[in-house]
Amino acid sequence: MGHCSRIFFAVAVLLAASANAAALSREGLEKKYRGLKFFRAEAVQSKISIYLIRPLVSQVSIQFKEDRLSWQVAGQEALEIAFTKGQKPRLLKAPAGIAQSLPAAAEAKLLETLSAVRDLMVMDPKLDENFLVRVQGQELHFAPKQGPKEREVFFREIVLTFADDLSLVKMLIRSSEDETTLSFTDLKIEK
Amino acid sequence: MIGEKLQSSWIWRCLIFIGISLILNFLVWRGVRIEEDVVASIEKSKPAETALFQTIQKSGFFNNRVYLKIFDPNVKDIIRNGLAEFDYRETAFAPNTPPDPADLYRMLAFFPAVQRDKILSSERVAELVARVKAAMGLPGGLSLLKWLELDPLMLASELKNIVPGIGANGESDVMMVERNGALSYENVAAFYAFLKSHDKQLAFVGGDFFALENRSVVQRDIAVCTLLSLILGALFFRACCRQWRVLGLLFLGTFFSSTLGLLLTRSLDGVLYGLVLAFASTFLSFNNETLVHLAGAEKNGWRRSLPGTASAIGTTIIGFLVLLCSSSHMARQMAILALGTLLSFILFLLFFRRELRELEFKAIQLRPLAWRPWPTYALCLLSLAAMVYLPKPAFRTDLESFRYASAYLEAQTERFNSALKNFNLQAMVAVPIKDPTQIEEEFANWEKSGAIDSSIWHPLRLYIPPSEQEKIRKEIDPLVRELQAELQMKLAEIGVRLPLSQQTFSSEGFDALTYLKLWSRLSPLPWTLHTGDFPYLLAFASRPIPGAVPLHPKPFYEGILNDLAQEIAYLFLLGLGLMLLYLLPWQRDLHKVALIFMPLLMACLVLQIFFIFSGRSINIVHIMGASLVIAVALDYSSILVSTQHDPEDQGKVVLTGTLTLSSFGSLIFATHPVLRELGLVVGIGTGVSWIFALLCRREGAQKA
Repeated sequence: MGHCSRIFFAVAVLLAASANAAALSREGLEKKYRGLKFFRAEAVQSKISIYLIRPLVSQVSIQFKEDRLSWQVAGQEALEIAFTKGQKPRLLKAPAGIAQSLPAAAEAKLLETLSAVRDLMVMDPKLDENFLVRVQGQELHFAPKQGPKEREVFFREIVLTFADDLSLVKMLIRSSEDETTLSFTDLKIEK
Repeated sequence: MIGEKLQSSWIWRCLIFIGISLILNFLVWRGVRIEEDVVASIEKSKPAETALFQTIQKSGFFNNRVYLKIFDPNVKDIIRNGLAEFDYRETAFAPNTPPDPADLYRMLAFFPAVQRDKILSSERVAELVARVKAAMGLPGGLSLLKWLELDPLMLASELKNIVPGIGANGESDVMMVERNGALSYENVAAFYAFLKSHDKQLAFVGGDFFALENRSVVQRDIAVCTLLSLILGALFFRACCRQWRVLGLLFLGTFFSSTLGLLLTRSLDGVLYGLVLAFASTFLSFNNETLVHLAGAEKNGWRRSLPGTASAIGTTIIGFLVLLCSSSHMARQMAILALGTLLSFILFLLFFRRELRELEFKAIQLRPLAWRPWPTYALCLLSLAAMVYLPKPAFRTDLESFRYASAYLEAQTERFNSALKNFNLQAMVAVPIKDPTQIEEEFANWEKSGAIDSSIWHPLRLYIPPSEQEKIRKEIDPLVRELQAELQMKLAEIGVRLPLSQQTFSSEGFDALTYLKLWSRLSPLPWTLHTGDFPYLLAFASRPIPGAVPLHPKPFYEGILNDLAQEIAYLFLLGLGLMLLYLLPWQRDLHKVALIFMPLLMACLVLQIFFIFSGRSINIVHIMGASLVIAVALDYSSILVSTQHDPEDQGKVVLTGTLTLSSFGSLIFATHPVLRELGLVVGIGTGVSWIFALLCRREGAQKA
């Protein structure tokens, strides 16, 4: 393969990349995810933090059904929260010791984060009110807007990575304490 | 020429007075501050006590504040986010923010041994490691480490086992919010509605909501009472007199005189109380008496009319003059307004002397019972003896009877108080501590004497002297360090790094005052305040403690109100004495004076029986009402006794009595308890004395 073929290959890759980038749009994502009634995901969770000596890797199951979101780390009880229209999310169930030991402020932040995950997954129409949402390549970036909301939420940014067919591949949650990556191995959605 | 024209044309005079009244009205209402908060009048009545109370409150926790007992922690954020919209903010007196770990470690020596042993154990470390393990996989779960970094043994979560009213993690479930600026009823109403919409998840209490509800009912009462009084007054006047010109004089005179009275009150006091304005709605009845008594006086000859008129008007003036000596700001304002209005009305009538001369009243020939001197004296003494012999109604003013609260607000307050059963806030007092080194000894003495409520938690019960503190600290400090190191090690085994800030433990013991200051930062209530010359210890009293200032508004204001009620009652007796002295030279006959007083004594007796049977206690409002009863009761009997029950004067008293009863009777329809009770007392008292005045005459005194 000569120079021409190398250039051709590079151009082809760039074109393919730009074609892919064009494929990911808010509209496309909203068409696929807005108003989801159910989703269930299996993921490998990897967490790095100043508080962790080594990355913490675990298997996580996330399920959203009938306005309830459960987050279960393998080998532990599930954490479950409920969403009621017009109210803040409410903690229904937590692994033993968590409900008693989490400071109220930390609990509020945890609920905010999980609430944001749910809002992202169902492409809630109110997302833009408090958060900056932007599409970058195959990624959807979601960050609190400047102002009071920023101080309220636990995370600094959530990044969702989608495949060409708009299926969710990865979720990255960045906070002041840690960075959590969820690599999805299985995802089922229903509208 | 102009004078003659004015004298001949009453329309012109009326127009001039309307014009003057409108101008004066403009002056009265321009920039006037109407105080609808009844409590403000109590505060102005005892400025010295209030100043101390307010100073303590400002550094304390009742001033301009609203308390929320949160049952559902999720609602806390909703409230926090909404506060700014209503111009309130969360205050930091109660530890809604987590307690400072440094304070907690300083207090560890005072923790009861059971809790301390539980905290300082390897089991505790294992439990904390298990918690971290459960949390670390969750989004945000590592924030627990942030807490452990500051409070490695999680002392904050143990506080709830020591201090009542502390939730998990050491945060109080009582939220305290404070109004930012001056009271804005619009903001308070919006905040009230906001809290109501969440009342399943919280209970609340706050003086602002009482002020708001009082304001709305006072405004409604002013409108309703004035309207009712005017309509009934017009109807009775029309029925008994049928002279529209008189009615016109009465209304115009009342408009002019009450405007002048309000202008006088405003210029003397600066502020007008809403309740006093509502009371002004009854002036029509006072004025109608003055008008009726002065009408025809000139025509019938002053020699005949003067004793009765002077007795009636003079006793009314004395009644209000003694009220001027009261410490009650509101009572003084009512007296100024009443005197100003009465004198302005007389001034007004001077310009309508011709019309007054021409007035004729329907004569009424009743058949009064003739009384000889000795039976009259006997009945007076008998009624006095009965009053002494009969059981006395309780003499107590509750704050509830002085202010209005809807059933909802009462229920909400009750719900809040029962939710805070661990702290009986109404029993909370601030005791000045003259010698701070003796706090614990003094507290122990009060407790021994039963002055302190032993069922309520108090931090001084956990206080230990500095020598003992040092001993305990020497034992626990190495243990704390050891356990922290153990925690670090065990967390490292599960891959968690716990950086510990190097804490320094002071082994030095501290005195009771410093100890209380620390507890004030850790528990939902303050335990010590510093204001003026002394520090104050806060305690829950079961019996009065000398020098103690009640911190809850209820006992504080009730104390003032009861003092004022007693004082007004003494003034009331003084007024009666002065009236007796005043009447003697005018009437020149003891029998006549006794007959003048007899209806009043009967009215007092009937009121006493009414109070006994209705189970009411006599409060400051009833006392103020009684002074009005004196004024009108003596008016009727003075006129009738002086004119020897002349049929024309009987007709006048029937007219004035029905007018007074209708105008004070209208107060019974008021929603505000002060006005309603005032209406009840004045209505009953006036009714009884009116009937007795009409039906009891001096033997051989009635004219054909």
